[in-house]
Amino acid sequence: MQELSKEIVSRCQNGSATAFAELVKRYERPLFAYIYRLNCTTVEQEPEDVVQEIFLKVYQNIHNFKQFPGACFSAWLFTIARNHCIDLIRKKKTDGHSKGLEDKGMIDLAEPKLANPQKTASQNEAAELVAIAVAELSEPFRSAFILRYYEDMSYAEIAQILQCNEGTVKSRVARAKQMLSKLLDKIRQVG
Amino acid sequence: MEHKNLSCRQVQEYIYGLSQRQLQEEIESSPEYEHIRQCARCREYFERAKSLSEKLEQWSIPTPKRNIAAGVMTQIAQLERDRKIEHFSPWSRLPALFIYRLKVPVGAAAAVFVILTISLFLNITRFSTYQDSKEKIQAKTDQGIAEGIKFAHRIKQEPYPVSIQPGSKGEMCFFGVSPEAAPAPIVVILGVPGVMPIETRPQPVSVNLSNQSL
Repeated sequence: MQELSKEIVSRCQNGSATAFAELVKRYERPLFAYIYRLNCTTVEQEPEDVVQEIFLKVYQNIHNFKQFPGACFSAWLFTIARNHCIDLIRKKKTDGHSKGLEDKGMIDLAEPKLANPQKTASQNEAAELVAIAVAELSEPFRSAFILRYYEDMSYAEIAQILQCNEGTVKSRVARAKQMLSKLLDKIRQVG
Repeated sequence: MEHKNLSCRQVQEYIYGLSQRQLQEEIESSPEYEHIRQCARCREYFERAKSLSEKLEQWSIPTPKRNIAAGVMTQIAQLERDRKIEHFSPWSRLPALFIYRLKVPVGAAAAVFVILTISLFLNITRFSTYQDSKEKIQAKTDQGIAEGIKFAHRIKQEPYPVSIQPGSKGEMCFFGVSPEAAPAPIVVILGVPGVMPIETRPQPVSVNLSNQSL
């Protein structure tokens, strides 16, 4: 992931709204994709709302980001995003929104988000199956896999976000892929 | 199994990376592909990985339903407006002042206040205890006087090295008794001088021995 320049981060820390707008523009899309794929929102909550909440947290805490050599701003930002999402996932579980693989309702839940008239029916179906399978992974595996596979982050960056070592990240990503492969077969059989 | 110096484990480590490559020539030119071609187990593993990669590729992200950046900047502007309003009110700023600027002095003042309060409380308790025990002290004093009278009568009959000073009108003062010879009655009569406040200490008394029954 391309890193935001130190100068923009410094300007943001000094309270520049223009610089923060630049920051939002730079990370809006990857953050939205991460939230969307992590499937941490409920039916009532849109991923757009969650992204906005995360950016507000970033704005309020940007002075806590320490610019030392090797400090990675995107890792810091995604750490905030991940912690926010963990809270949402917990809330979702306690509110009873989380549904198992056997629950047919999960397909309906994912449908409105994935609906795209431009796609073919088979593409939609495959995407839905992947969404369901990824949602079945536990959060550390899900985050490691999404950040590596879709956000193209380095193992070192992911290790910072997940607060573990690079070896753990590598094994989580590999295990996630194996689990996904098995889950997709299982989903196809259930379907 | 080993083909071209690569073990199955080594190949499987890279197999997902390989399965993500788009161009067939790129895949075929890799050192792992030679192994995959010859090893049935790794070939199956590779096919599964390729199938998974294809499915994962199809999971695209929809366009956000609204302009997130605009929403964020509006919320930030609102936040800043609220903050400015807060800054105008001295009362609303007070907690922040306490936290960031007056932390040490306020803490020190609070500590002094607590110490003074505890000290005052203890003094009040001690004072009321002395007040309460005045009657007890008086009772002890009376008992001490009685003991002293007995002692005085005894030493009058026995050859102790004491000097008994006669008071006016035939009274006898106990504090005239030499401490070396008879410290006990003096202690009983005077109480424990080091512990009691001066105002509550029993005063030396003089007793007319002729009026006391033994």
